[in-house]
Amino acid sequence: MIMKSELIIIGGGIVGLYSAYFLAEKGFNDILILEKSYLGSGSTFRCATGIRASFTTEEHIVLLKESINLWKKLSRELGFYYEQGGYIWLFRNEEQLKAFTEFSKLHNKFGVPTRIISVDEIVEKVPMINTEGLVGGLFDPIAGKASPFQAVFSLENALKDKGVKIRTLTRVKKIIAENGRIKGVETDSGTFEADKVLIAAGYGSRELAKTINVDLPLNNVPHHALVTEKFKEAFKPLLIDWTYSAYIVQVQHGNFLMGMDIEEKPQQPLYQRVDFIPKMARVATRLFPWMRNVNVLRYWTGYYVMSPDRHPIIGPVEEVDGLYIATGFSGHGFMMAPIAGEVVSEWIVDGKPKYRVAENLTLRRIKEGKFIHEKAVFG
Amino acid sequence: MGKEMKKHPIIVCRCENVTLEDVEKAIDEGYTDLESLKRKLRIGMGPCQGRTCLPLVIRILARKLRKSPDELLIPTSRPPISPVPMKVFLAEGEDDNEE
Amino acid sequence: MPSSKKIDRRIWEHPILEFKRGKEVRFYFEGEEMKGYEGESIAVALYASGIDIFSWTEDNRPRGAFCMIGKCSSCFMVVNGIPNVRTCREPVRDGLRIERQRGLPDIPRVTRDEEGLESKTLETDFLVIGAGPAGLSAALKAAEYGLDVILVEDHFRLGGQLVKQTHKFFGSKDLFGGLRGFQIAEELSKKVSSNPKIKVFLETLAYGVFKDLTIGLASKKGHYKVKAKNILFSTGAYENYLAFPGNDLPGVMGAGGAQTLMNEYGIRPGDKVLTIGAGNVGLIVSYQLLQAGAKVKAIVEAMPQIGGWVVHAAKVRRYGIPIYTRHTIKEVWGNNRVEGATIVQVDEKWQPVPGTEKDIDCDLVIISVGLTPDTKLLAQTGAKMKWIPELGGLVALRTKYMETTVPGVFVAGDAKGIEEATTAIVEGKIAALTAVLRVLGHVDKAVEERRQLVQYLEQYRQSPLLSRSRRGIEKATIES
Repeated sequence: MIMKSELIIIGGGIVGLYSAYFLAEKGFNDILILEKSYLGSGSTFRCATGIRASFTTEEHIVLLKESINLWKKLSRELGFYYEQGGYIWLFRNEEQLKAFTEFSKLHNKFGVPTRIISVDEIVEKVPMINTEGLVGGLFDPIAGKASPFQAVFSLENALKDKGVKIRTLTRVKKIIAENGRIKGVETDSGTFEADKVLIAAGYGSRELAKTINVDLPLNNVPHHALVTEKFKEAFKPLLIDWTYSAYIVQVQHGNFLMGMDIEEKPQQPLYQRVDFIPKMARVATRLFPWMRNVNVLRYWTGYYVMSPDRHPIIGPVEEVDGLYIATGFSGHGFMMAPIAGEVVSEWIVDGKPKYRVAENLTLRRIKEGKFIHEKAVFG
Repeated sequence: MGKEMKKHPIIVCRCENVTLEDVEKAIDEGYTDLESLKRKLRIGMGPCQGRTCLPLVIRILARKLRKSPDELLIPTSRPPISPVPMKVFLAEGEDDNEE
Repeated sequence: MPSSKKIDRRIWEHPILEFKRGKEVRFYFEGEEMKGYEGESIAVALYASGIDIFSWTEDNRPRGAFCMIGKCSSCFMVVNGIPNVRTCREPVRDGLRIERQRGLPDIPRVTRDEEGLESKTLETDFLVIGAGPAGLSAALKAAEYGLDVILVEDHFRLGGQLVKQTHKFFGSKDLFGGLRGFQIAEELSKKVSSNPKIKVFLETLAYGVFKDLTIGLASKKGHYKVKAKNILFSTGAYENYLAFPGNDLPGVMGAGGAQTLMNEYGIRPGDKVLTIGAGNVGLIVSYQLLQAGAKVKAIVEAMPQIGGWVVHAAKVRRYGIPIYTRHTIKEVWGNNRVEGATIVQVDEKWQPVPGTEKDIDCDLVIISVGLTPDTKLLAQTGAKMKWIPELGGLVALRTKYMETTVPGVFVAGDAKGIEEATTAIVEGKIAALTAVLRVLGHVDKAVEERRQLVQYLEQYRQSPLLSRSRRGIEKATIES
């Protein structure tokens, strides 16, 4: 029996789920989401959980500012954890301070009220920090964090209520098109027909796009993170130690979640590396000497799906009628997911996104070499 | 006698204080694999790394769904298999990049 | 409120065991001075003095001793300002300041005592993880053939669960027939400690498997990366938990936890005991509780028949301990600890039969409902695993030479599937001999010795007493 839907979304992660959500809100709910394992099993359940708009391009700042509003709204409506605890970028030399002073001007221009703060102010917000080597920071008061688990499960429930179909443990092997238009997908549980397909498959997107002769120049780069045991709340903001490309945040349940860039080759399988925990421990105990006596609970790896300019690729694919993509989030997919989902729904239903800058994020810019380079990201 | 004393819950996950009622409710709500149950209830996310709760939940789930545990997506084991204090990793050594 | 009543649960007279306690140490628990003995862990020293509540959860539930072998998290306490210390493994020393943890802990104080911590890469022919009967036997056998061996154990003592066994082993003299478990442990440990080819790492956790099968070790001395030509996972097993009201109260313990207290440290775990489960472990532990001076009120077994061997059941019956088959525990009650329990009969569908409730006056409930192989580390190697109920859960597929689907990765003992110490010892040797052959190439003596051991195991497992594990092993064995 061949099932037909108007849209098949490949990928049951936060981006696929939010896309379905916003589409359903517009009355478009003949959607089938296909997830190869369990919902969130890709990068969503492995991410740092942070949400910010303090980037260095208009595209990112404007869209993420709106994404933050959506996080606030939907966390209340759907009932999951989201907290606007802020971000603090920590700097260890004058060049960094100067660069981010300029970035802050750009943030403010687009309505994101970041500001440079002194070491004393950092201590006010994070009393137990070791200030040795710090020269100042950038405080982003509207940034925050949320629970990927709760968000996924709340979205899943909301989607089921709206009549969206979800199939897990179903792996898409091939996207099918005929005469330049989408016909459906072939999976390990049979063929599913559709007029439209959205690739929101994170690290699986490049391979899937290949099956339909679309080249997505994305690189899956392994990233590493660990989580400690739980403690009473110590600090609210997510901290970025810019010098070490490291972040530390305390999640809702009290564990400290942290990660940092270590040199990795793209397209590597996800290996556990014996040098990650030592490197991370050094960074963490430099900022927080008391972390020497904190236990590491769990270490995992996951992919950043990197685009050439660190901006996602969102929108229709011109070569194939009915094909859409939302991937390449380069390490900030979780935070962008609501606005990405809304933009996808606008492309599909309205033919055009509400925010003009979103039009700059289609695959076409990559083809035309019109890269928009983001500087305030790791990697 | 003592039975007038307070009633106690049935604890399945000691680390995260998840009761049998929580587990059965989640299964009834459709969380029917261990990876999802783990994220929903936090079973297996504590310091004992699931040693106490997972075998119990596997049996409950296998019985309810009439499936073999092999089909239940038993969560991947991740290091460290027991909690380790960060200071252990601070010694300077040949921690150069692996490659 | 610290108790002013001086309780001492230490066993000073035991029919079989002699407890060698080290020198006396003084420490502080919630401000009150207490005494312990070198060689005890903090949890043990506290329990010996009658402290049975180690912490309070976020919902204000009391927690106490449960597994006592570092596998659960019930014994976490604040030691010298540092929270989440696993007190069942942390040795007690003079001057320690210990507090109960209440809900989420505060962040710890700073210490800067990592001078002298080392970080090293070690290479070896044979890395053995877990120094129970399988691991000790494997290390000795490999060293016999000249291999360099590293033996890792996370406890401060070698011997695994053998250390706690007071009954005499059966079988041939080769396999320690006539000796008691703890004596076998002593013998094997002595041989290992004095063997120059075996480098022993105590209080060291093999915490992860990394790229190219590098194994990470963590201890108070530092962090080690081991690149081994062969790795044996002899990591044993852990107790199954059971779901009944009150199952997290202090006074509800795994059978292994009770054994650790009484046979390793000479502490009486309780005075009036209810044992759940009449398999070998339940029967043996009940008997050992009698030796430790406790009164076992009853043993309940949900199945229609006793699962353990007749010889163990007979011992227990001789002492007048009632064994209620087709019974299970309904609930445990008490304010902050076990003060009593109710058992109830079950029908063929495992449903409680109303009206058959019986109250048991007890202060200790032992859970002995099976063991699960500890394959958490082994699974990280990528070895193919399978759920085999006859072996206790998720186990690795392996050849008759104990090699998994990853070349050079071996498993032996309860980690391969729940069985017994004798099979663990033989399996450890078989795995070691296979490692020897991988390192040295063909060695007639090793080939022949291994063939004989494999044959011995096959014959040994023909016994009807081992039919369950034999069936499980058939399912787990793959072609060499």
